Amino acid sequence: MATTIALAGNPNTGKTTLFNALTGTNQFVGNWPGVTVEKKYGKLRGDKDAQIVDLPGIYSLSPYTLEELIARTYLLEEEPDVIINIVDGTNLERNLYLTTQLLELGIPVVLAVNLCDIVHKNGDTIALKALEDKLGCTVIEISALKNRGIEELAKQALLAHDTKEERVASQTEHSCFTTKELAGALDVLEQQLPAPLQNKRGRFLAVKVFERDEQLVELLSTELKRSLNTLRATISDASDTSRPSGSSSTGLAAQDSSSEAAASEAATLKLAAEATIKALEKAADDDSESIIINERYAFISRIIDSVLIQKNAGKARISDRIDKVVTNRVLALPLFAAVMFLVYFLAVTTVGTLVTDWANDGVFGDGWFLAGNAEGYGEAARAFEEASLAQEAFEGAAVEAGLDPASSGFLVQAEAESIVGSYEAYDDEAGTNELIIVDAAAYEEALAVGEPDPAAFGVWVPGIPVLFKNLLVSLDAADWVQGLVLDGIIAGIGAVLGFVPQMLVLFLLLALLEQCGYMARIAFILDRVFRRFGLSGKSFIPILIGTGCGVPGIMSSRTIEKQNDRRMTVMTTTFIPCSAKLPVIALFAGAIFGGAWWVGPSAYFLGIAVILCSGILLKKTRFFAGKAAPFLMELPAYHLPTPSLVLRSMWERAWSFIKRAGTVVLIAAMIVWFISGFGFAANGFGMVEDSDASLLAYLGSALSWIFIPLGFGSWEATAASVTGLIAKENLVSTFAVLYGGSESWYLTMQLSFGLAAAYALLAFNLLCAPCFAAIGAIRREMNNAKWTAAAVAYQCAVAWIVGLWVFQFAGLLTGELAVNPFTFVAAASFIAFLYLLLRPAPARQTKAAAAQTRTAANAKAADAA
Amino acid sequence: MSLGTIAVLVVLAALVGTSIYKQLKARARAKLTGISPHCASCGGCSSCLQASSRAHSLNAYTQDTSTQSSGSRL
Repeated sequence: MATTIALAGNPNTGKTTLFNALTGTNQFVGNWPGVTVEKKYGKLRGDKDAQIVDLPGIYSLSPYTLEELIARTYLLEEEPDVIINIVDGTNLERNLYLTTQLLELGIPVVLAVNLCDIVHKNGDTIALKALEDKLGCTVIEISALKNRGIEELAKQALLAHDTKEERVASQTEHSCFTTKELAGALDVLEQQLPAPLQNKRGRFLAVKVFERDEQLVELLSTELKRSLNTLRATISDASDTSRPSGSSSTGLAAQDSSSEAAASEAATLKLAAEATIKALEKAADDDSESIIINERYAFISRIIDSVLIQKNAGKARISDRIDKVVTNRVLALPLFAAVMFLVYFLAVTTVGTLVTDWANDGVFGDGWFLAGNAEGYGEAARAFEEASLAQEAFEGAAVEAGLDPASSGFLVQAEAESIVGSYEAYDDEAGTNELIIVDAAAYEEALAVGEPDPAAFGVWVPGIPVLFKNLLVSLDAADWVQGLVLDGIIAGIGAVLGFVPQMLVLFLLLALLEQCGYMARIAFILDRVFRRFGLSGKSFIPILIGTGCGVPGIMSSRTIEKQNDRRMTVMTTTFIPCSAKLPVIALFAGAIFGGAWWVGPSAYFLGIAVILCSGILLKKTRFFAGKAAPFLMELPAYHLPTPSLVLRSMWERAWSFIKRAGTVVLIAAMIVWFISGFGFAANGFGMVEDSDASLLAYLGSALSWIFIPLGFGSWEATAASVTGLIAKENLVSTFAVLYGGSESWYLTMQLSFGLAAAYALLAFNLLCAPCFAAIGAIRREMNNAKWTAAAVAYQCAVAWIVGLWVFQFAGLLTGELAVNPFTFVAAASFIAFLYLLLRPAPARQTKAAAAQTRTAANAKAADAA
Repeated sequence: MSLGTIAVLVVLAALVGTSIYKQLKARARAKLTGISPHCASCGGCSSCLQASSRAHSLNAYTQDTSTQSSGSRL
């Protein structure tokens, strides 16, 4: 028979790590029906009949938070066969509170004491046998992170299922309510329960009646339904007959009657119990709920005294000492800025670039040297590239002057007519584009430069495009098919996949921050900043998740209770650069800014700044006004990251990115190649030689006027921005296809954009509407078409304005453009922005306050009359 | 049209077909499980679970906290 094992525990006890260890890769994610928190379930490794259900992290079974309600409802309605209660061994006292509640549910509990390695490292000891005796359930020592004790835990959980009755009886015997008066009162309440409910869960229900639980009717309804079902199953088994046609209607009728019966039972119970509860409340001089809580903690305190021996009781832990610096009021923000700067700097500029250059130029370029003089070849290749540009420029000028470069005596003729060509080249040292003049002498010199043979410089491995080109030529594939494969698919996908090494570095660093516990500190640190502007730190959690992917980031905003805060978070989450935007940042950093160190980090901080400013501005509008929700959080202890978990996290994210390149980007690159190579020419629709006459050029030109004030009003940039809506990586693949694929498309990009225009294009694409998948997630979370449209419009408007400021102000500074009408638009919008940012929040009355004012005014008027 | 051209086109059609099939399959799975189509086609569950688990952890104990100052440690 299949066994269902529920995994319950406080947040941050290593529940997900244990879930992953128990299930291996056999895990799935689903939605809890009707609610908003994910359900995680998986098959137990080594026993396909056993299913593990991961419940949300909770502190108690009280119905105060959504997570607690979900966990409680699941445990009562679904009734798993066994509960594995994972507790943090370094925080035993707090964790055992939930344990005392779980033990009352009439389900066998196996207590997994996690983080035992840290307990031992601290020099502390937990007497497991004594703990077992006190609680009446099996206790296992584990380290989920280091995969210790997991097999024994799974074995004990399955054993607990086989010996269910004895386990439950033992748990009931070890009740935590030992005070004579309270135990007596609970006994009375238990006896007052309707006969079918005085079962193994009688004590739990009696406690709920005593606590005056708000969900009592639902609880009783659940229990009555269960009793009814058990009874029906018993009768059915006994008579061994089945009546399928009538059973469903009987079931429905039973359901209705059980709900009605529950309501009436609850009313009767409340009435009968009130005298008992009030008597005890009077005696204890406390409310009933506090009496229960005190009793539980007194029980836990006694347990802790007898099972836990702490070596350094009262001394500050290492984590606390680190936090004194990391979360320090003065140092926290600079440290956070330094850490995030380092993450993006390492990923985009240094370590990532080294490998990405190899991937872009080698694997997805001409090829690379396994051994040999790579530098010498690089210089020779660059010289040949420059010579080719010079030849092209000179011959272009000659053709314009009516000369034929193929004719004999061309050089003499060109010299006689003083033909001079020119082209722009990027000066690495100056960081600007330089105009190179090519006269006849320079042209002659360029002609003498031959294409270097890489094999002459060492052991040369050809790149993927070269291999495919050779294959296509040997297959005698048609030219347009070669173009589709080489300039469309391989150029597009290659351009995106070339950034995988940078992504790996970013994912590795983010996984390290997540695993060591620093990510939680970032939320803590930014909560201070957010709160100062009336925002909640809760809004930052989706943003943290959004650094990986915007979709789960948007989805995680569900846990924000206030609707206006949730909507605002959904609208702003995608401003943070997700992993798909990293190739875009890296492309601009590498191709246009010459690998400048500041491009990657500035993109991240631009996202944070826009989120903060958006929050401040939106909070001052009536749609989002209101006090920020309180944000209380628990900081997990710092620990060394586990290499296997870090690598797994890194690989899974990277694999997801690679898969997207093989699906969405593949199709998009093919479409872009097709519509950029075909169009309406003089002889009808067909392949066009000049891509300016292509379909994509028409489509891009129709929208490019929008971006003229932002400095990138070309149809290519417009088309790339539009394809970025399908998936942000498409921006890279589209540029690669449009700017010549493997053949020095970086150079073409460099020549197409000035620095201010390039950063404006980058800023616009980082901030504008996210990909379709994320827009779909916004639609689902907003559950309203108008709000979805408003969110997308807001993001596009913000992106456009930021792009405008960047181009107009930075362009003036760099001398890229002169003062123009749009400079005044930029200045006016910037002043308006500052006014909106700095003005005090308009005083808004709540409805209740307004009603009160009205009543007071009416009363005053009546008095006056 | 050469045989080579036809062979390449067949391979490309298979690639596109597989890609579309995978997207459709992910959509079907999304409908069945109630998760977003993007998540269904992604499959990077464990890293996301880690992140979402953190989100829930950090947001779990957020009610009835009026007596606690924001950002204070539990």
